[in-house]
Amino acid sequence: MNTKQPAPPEWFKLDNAAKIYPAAKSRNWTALFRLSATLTEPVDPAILHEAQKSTLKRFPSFALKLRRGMFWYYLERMEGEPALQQDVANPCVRMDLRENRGFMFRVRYHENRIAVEIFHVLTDGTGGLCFLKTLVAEYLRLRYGAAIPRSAEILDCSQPPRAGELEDSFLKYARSVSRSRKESVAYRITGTPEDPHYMNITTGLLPAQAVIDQAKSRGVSVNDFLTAVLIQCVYQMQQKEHSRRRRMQPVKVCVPINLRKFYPTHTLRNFASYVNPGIEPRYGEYSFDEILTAVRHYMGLEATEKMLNAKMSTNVNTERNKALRAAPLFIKKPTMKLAFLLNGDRNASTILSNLGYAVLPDEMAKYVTRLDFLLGSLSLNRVTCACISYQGTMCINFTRAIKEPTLERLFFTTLVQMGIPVTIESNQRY
Amino acid sequence: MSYCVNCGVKLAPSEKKCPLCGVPVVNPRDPWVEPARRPYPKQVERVMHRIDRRYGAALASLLLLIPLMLTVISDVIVNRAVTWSLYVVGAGACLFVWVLLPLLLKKPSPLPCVLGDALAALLYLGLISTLADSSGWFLPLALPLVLIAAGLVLGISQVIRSRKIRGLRHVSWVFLLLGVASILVDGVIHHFIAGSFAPFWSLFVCIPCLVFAILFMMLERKQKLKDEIRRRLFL
Repeated sequence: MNTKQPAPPEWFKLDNAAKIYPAAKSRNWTALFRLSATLTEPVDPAILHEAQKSTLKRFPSFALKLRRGMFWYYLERMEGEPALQQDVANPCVRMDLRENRGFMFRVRYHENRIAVEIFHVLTDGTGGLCFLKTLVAEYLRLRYGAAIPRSAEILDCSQPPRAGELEDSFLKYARSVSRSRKESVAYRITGTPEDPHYMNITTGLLPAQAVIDQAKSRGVSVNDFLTAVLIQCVYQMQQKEHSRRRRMQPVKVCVPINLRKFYPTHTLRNFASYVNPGIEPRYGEYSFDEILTAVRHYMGLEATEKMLNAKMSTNVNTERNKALRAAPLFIKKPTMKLAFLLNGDRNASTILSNLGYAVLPDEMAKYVTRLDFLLGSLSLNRVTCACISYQGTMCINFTRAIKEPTLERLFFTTLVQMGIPVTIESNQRY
Repeated sequence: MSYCVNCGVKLAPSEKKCPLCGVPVVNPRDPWVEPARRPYPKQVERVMHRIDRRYGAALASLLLLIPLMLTVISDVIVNRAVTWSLYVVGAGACLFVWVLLPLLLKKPSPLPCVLGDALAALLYLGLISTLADSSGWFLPLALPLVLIAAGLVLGISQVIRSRKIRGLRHVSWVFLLLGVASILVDGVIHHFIAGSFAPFWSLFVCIPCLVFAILFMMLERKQKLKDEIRRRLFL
């Protein structure tokens, strides 16, 4: 039965997680992430343009422009679509909303690859992956006539958008009880700043099964395993610091958690929280097994529905605070920016975002050879890590805004020493 | 596919040196060649920094307050009243409206800017005439001259922005407007001094302006002549 869906609204409030990004954005930094799919043949821009048009109709939460209200930023619906762009050697560096016709995402292509770069105001990694899969499915349908079965992850562009896809799930599922946001300041990776607006990307391709086997042999999940390896590498870098104060700072990794696992929501907007597992070098020297144990137990305690709900409820209750709501935006904005600088990236040394194992239907998988996920550098932390697996290959992308590849080297050589073969590629310039 | 002997990782064919340690790829059996396909294109996105004029204008406005306030304070200390400092404050306010206010506006357009400038000028001149106790020149002289200047600036900006007027006709219209403005200015000044509207010196301005206006109008119609001039006079 084809029930008539109401037309998407002309304007939206920002979801709870998105509210911080316009305030935190600066001339030199925008919270961006990128997802890409590598196909078996070179991309046809004309067909990609048509695919983008039909996909955007199905994703009204992407065809939005950021506007400034008296008390809050808001999103306004737009017609049309952004122009397709050729890919560049330094993706995810910056997005000038004025240049992109106000759109907060862009579609780029290079040889066989289609990439989508998205401003975090619109959605998170899961929503972005859904958009990319739908875009690629539309492209393949138009190019090859492929009949790709549609699902919750690959949306049907001939159907209208559902209201549940546009909801702010934070407001729907938050409760009244908050918890303290207070955390210790983590050790920060430093290095020689890279050229302005260039970012180094190092990609490691490894067999997913080898990583799963390693994690299973240690009795942890793949995410816990990779987090522990990353913490160990940052710890090794830290112990070479001259300053004793810096050697004793906590080493933590920010791990985003998809809240859709815990709640029945179809939202395509932001709906994720985060945890910061780590170690305290003040308590002594850590072995890898100790780090692994610390991570496993931390995740077991913190990455639960109750704790994550309390965390997101803190932000929702702050948003609902009457005094904050009544404050005009020109007062709110610098206050939020200060809060972001004090509470944001300072609590973690780096970030590891894992989108898990992506599965495509066979009709689509025969045309798609690889999926990539990478993050733009954070405002304070100069090195980030993003991971996605597809067709038996795990693709780990490091992005850094410093010249030294120390963390990546330690990370990948650690995996090699554990018997996991790694293939490296990068965007280095010759 | 080569390995990095330092790190133990395999290197994709696109890598000339190991991205992790910088050691060059040396494989005698498979020397490195530039691959047909690279994971990323060579083109780097250059980000052009825009000067945030609104922020700069806001900062300059705040800085402008400093000398104005110092002036008023000095005046009050010396004279125990606000006297001459009003001239300075008025000039500062004019400077703000003429220069800084258009930079603060999101989308400045000529009409409100010119009207604002004219109003600021009139208010300042009015202030001067009030403070100097000589208001006899304000209405018959200052007011019409400011309005003529505003009209001239508006007219020129409309001509320049107009899409209906093409090529050298822009220049023609500008000369025409200058000629008309000179007549009006002459007339107003003569009326203030002698009581009658009888332009004189403006004829020496208006006639050449008219001639130039007609000249450029005719030149616009002669494409060959324009090309010839452009060929000989290009920079």
